Amino acid sequence: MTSWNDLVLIEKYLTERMSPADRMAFETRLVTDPELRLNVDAQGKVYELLRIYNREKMGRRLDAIHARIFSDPAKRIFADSVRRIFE
Amino acid sequence: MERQTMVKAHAPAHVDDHSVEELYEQAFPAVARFVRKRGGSFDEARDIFHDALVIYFERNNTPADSAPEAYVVGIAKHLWFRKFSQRGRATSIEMEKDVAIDTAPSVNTGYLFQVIRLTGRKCLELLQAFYFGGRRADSIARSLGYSNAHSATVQKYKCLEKIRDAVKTKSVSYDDFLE
Repeated sequence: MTSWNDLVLIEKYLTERMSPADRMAFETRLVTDPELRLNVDAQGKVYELLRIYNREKMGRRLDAIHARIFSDPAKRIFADSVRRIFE
Repeated sequence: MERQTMVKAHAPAHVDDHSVEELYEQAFPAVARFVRKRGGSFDEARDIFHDALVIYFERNNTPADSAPEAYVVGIAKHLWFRKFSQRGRATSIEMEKDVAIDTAPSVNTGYLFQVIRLTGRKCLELLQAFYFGGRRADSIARSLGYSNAHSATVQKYKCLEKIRDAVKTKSVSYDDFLE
């Protein structure tokens, strides 16, 4: 239960959705609780990791969409009009 | 103990390809003209446009704003200015400070996928649904096959904890993800 509570608290803390009073209490705990500090650090990395993963995934999808648009005969007029911009 | 119900079908990505394509065709010409005017190439226009779309969809579920293409073009211009202005300061467009994809280094995907695989596909889909695309818990629960918003939320934190523990035991630092 503690770990569950802390997961929720840490998320609120890192996403800045804590009330000033809760934040103060949380930061006081941070000073004295090395385990909590470790968890805050690790959880922050998880969000960053998810963001990187999400961006990678979306990037690959966009590359595929780009390739499709610029090779599809039905999109030829559009594709040519964009190409002409660079002529 | 919360029980996760079976994910019935493979969960769809939060935005379908058709909407992305539509937005692509609406916004890309303007970005291309902008980049061309500043001496950029077709490939540079494409890259900056893709970065702008990634940022856009990171925050928005569907292209449902009144003028999504204007927003995407705005992000692209901002990224272009950031890329080419001295020390990235002289931006003429005010954007939120977390629009920072231009600093995104290339990612060591092999390592990333190793950690991600520990999490499992279902967890990953759930976390992505929660954190990217701005969907509500009840809508996520419905589309990913959880009985209700509460159970999806409980599962979200379990998944989060699973990756967090992996990150802790492997002492994964942010740098490890970068090449």
